[in-house]
Amino acid sequence: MLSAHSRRDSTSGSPSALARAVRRWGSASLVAVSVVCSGAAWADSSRSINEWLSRLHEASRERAYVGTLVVSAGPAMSASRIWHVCDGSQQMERVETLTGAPRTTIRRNNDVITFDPESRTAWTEKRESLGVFPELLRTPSNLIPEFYGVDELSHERVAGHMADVIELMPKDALRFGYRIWSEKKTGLVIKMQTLDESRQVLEQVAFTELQFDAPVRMDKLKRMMADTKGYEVLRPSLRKTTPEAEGWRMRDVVPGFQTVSCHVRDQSDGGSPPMQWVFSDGLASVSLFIEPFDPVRHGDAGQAVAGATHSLTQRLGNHWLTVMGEVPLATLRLFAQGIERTR
Amino acid sequence: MNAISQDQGRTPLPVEPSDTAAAQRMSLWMDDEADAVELDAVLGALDADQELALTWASYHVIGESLRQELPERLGARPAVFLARVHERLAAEAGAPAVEMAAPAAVRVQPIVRGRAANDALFRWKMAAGVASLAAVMAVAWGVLGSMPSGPGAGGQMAAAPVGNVVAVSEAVPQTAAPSTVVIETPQGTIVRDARLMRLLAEHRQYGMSALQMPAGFLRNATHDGAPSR
Repeated sequence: MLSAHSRRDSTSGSPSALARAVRRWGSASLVAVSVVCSGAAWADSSRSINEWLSRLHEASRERAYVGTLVVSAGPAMSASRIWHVCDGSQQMERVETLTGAPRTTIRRNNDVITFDPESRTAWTEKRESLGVFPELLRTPSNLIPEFYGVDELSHERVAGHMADVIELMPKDALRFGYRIWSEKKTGLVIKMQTLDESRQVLEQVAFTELQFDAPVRMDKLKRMMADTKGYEVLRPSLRKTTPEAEGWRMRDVVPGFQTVSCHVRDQSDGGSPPMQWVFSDGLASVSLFIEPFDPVRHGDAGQAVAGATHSLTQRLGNHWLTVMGEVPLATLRLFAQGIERTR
Repeated sequence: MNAISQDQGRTPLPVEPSDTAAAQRMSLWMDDEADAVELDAVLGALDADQELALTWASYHVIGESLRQELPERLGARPAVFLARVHERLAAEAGAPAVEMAAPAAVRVQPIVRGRAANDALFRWKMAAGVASLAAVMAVAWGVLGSMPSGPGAGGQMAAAPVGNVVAVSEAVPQTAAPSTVVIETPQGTIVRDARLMRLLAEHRQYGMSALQMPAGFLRNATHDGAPSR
């Protein structure tokens, strides 16, 4: 019965007869059926927040899928076509933008290459942070359960698939909340909203179309990833460092946030790029960019917002600071106030 | 040079004769007349066939040329585009880049994608009604609050309600902030700060979140465009 939900319904606007029948059954029956299918205990069988995050993370390692993703961040919307395939230990993904500048991003595990066909440039990079979960959830440095709680809400149908709706809500006012639609069988995130203190949606990512077990060929994606003929391939290089070595420290640590990394990007044109000091509380990241103050280049102190990402730019003695993250402005101010020069 | 940037809407599609069937299916799809089987075939072919992917991109270029958005977007690297716009602004008698109340301010062509000229035919189910404000990078910064210094209209605009575009809060002196470009759109004025956008790209690259896989990663690859150079 529920397996019929996997039938692809590309016209997500018009409910099928089956969907109407499902709604007629009522939510209680639906829960009962899903309980039988999943073998779990009764409806409020909550998984802990760590268990949910593991489930969401592992879901994409197990099934191949093809879909269309729409991102809305403030007034801007973009869409892309997604291909995903996994094979034992390897995962590959291809993202082809449908709006804005054409871009193709291909990922194999932590290796990412982005093609820009208009300028015939490609960037390759290694995204180390992609590989730290879910193992990091099981370590003592995982502070997420201290600062976020999880609520299981209801079930809703998104892009033709039934999903559990959960909320990861912050326990203080220094971070945002997340409402997540997790496909019932696999756990795959098919829709996610970032919510502010008054539960307004700051950003949304959602599949409008999703087909599991599509015939995506890993060898084909590997070939595409390696095919850089005609492209100038750039590899950003950076110098890893520590805040202490650069002469900075956080006098007042913002609760829940820990240092993730600190580096200075190498820049070939002779400019002096800023030091980037990255913090994370497990769900949200904050970057502090610090560079020497230059009256010619620097003058626009202020705040800005793009979707869920807020930024704060100001002078800091002889330096110029930009703090940026998917957190409220008040949290960015705490970072700006808490940082201090040691020499 | 990129073949697509030469395309003014009358160049033949870049497909081999043997791929005509795939191109025809694509054409049906563009006109919203493909059924599910044809759609599957096109998507599968797109996966494999770079020429077909170029054709797909050509259709979009054609659509944009019909809507007269083409000259603003074609073939220009973001930095070049920003530099050109800035040159134009500078050429306008050295006036500040933005004055909310000054009608004499240079009006850059709105980047907002409005209704397609042939909307009834050229309807894309998934992206119907999507208005992309991205000319250079797909992020628009709304400017909040005010700054003590700076000429012009300082001190306006609070945080934008979700779904609205916010206006700029202060004028940008030409020499002090060469990386800032102001664009006027029907919804208001958006500040495009190239430096801030570069930092945003780096912030996305090096952030860490349990929600990154897959939603966060897919979101960034979709929305932010190129990583910084």
